Amino acid sequence: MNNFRKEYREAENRLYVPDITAVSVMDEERRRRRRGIRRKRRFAAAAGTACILMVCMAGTATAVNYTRSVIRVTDNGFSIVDDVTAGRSGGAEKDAGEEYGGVIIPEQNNEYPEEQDGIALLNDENEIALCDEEKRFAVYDAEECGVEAAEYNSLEQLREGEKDLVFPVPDLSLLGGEITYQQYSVFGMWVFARIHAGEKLFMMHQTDYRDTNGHAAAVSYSGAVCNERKYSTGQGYIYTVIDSVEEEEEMPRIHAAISVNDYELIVDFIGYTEDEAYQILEHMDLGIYF
Amino acid sequence: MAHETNGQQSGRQQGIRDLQTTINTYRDMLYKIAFMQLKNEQDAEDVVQDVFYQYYKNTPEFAGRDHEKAWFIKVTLNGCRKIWRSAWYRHTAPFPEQEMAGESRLESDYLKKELHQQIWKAVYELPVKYREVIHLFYYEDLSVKEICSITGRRESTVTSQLTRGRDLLRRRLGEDWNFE
Repeated sequence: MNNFRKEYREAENRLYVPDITAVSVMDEERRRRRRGIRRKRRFAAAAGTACILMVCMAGTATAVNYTRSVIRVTDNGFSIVDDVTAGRSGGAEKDAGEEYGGVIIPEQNNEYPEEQDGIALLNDENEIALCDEEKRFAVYDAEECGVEAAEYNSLEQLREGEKDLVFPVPDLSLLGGEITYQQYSVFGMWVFARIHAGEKLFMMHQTDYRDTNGHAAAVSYSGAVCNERKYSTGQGYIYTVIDSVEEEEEMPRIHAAISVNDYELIVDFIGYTEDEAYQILEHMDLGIYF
Repeated sequence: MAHETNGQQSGRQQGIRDLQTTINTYRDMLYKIAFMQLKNEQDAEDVVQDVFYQYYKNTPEFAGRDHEKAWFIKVTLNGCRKIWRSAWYRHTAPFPEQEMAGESRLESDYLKKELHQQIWKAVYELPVKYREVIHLFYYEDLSVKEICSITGRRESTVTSQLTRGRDLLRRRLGEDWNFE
């Protein structure tokens, strides 16, 4: 019988670890440069959206407009590939979700900003230093990389600030509770909404692929994923729906993904029953994607 | 331009040596934790650099070696979560093909390398929370209590995550594995 502890330790000990010197740590200028490089790298990967597989496979193909992507359910969430790429790579078996790390989204069990693990962990003043640094990053991001990032705290502000935005936020009165917190983030081709309604949390992530030649992406949730199913709305839109399960958590989590024209939309319902989630999906107007 | 006195230069050099000693002590551990979280070499290195920078800037005081180690692990996990917290973080690199130290032409070594790649892949494909506790338990030899203290999770949660992580690993690796 193989001993996991022994073999895993040996495997990890093979990992190449880069050299880190005290001089490099203390070099403030180097830190600034690396921060800029890191952001550019991340934004370049994000703006491209597709993984390395896509760069290799798209080649000199002209832009392909797709009306649907292939949405698969993985062990941890969704993987989504445009149908042209899915066809080239032998069907839905091979996609970015399996081959690559995929998209990482914020940990789903941190529904309330004040309970985020990252803040709760630290008990010393470093916590404050980290938060300040994060705020400085947010400002530096937009200036450094030329990608406009905007945040809004209400739907009215979002509509006012992003007049051309296509984003099917449902009527807030349908979300089942007093709206105590709203955050809308617009970052190039991505839009993200987070709305607290009483004890419930509603989130939407939308990606606009109109200007890409193809893409592959994945979404991972903490906890195991189960109960894959489809939900058809009265307007004929079909969502792929899953539940995610976190240990020790009583709160139900439902996730729905759909691709319409060149848009992909993922909706997360934390604390909602299935009926409540479906009611909200019914009232989201996806006709705006045409 | 101000010139350092000999004493100031000596003090600065000592500070650099002390910091380097600390880096040498924790670098491997922290990089492996960050890499396990982020699955990306550059991001892992950046997180570890930032952790040591925090240590250098804030000069925290510790009750003992264990407290110091726990502090470093916590700050590293936090650094990784900062990157995760961005909704736009994309990890699109293929499964990392790490350079393995001490390449050998022996068939036995080749088979060993294949086995280690298989284990690595199985662990790295786990959901991050299972991956985290599996790594801290099996590689860092931390107890469940120590993992609870560092991650802020309840003991029952960590135990459950370890159990589920092992189950998923058994599914991927096969039943002939001992997880003691």
